[in-house]
Amino acid sequence: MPDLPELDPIVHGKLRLAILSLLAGVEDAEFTWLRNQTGSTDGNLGAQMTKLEEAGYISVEKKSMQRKPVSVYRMTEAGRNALSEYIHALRTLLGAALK
Amino acid sequence: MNRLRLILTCILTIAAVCLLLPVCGHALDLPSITQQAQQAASAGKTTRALGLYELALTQSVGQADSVFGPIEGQYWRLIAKTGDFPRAFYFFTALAAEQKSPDATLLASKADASGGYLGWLQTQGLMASLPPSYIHQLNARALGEYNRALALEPNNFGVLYGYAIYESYAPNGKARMQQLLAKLNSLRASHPHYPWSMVDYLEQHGHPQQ
Repeated sequence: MPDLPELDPIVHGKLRLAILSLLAGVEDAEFTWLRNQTGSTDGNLGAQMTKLEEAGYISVEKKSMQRKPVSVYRMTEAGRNALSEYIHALRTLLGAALK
Repeated sequence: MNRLRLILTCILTIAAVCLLLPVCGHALDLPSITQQAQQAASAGKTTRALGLYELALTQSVGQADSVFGPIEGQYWRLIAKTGDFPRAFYFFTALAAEQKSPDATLLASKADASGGYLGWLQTQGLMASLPPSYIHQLNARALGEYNRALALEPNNFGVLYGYAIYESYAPNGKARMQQLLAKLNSLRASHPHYPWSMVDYLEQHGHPQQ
């Protein structure tokens, strides 16, 4: 039995993976946009965002957009690396099945 | 004897300032001023509310955008409600003049205020009574401020959108407005959460949504 690659448990969560995938394609994103894109609830999204923030995978900044307060999220370098490694590990894990 | 009186006066003045500073510090607490302004606005005391918002803006200028922006938004909503665009124009002119280093947000706010003032002069039928050179100067200053703001922050949504609105009202501003809208649209993919419906409306109708 070959060694199975480890999948980062922070990235592995369905909603967290969706958030990181969305943030990977943009410079920054606001909470409401992420909620609409993921179809999540405020509470669930907020909880998963906190986990990603605590892991250092995303950063949040309070800004104003057209003179209204907004929370803007960005993927950090650590988050980008974690997602990249997760994809690599998943490819290794599914290697035979993908062929 | 005069020298002694002078020293005593100085000591008393310094003591008074030291005693008053904590009181002033408390009175000028930013959240407290903003809350008082909101309460005054809700109670229909618009003059007091505008004065308090101006105090809050003066205190928050140079702080994070998340502090200044929302207060400015509340101020503009009240200005629009009262129609007192000259007040906003003179306030932002004075506020911008006080700043030692240029700030893109404030430069754009002043230019926005100039646009509001020009619009007010137009609606009041006062344009014709003013020397054309005065109007020309106001316009040139506003354009200069938008351009300086963009030199500082080329991708600032608020500056680009405000500038596009300004040009939408200018007699020969359509081409420039299109350039600014193109620049805004180039930010769409990387900043999906920006209020693009406002940009779409401006693009489709040639003027902002009221």
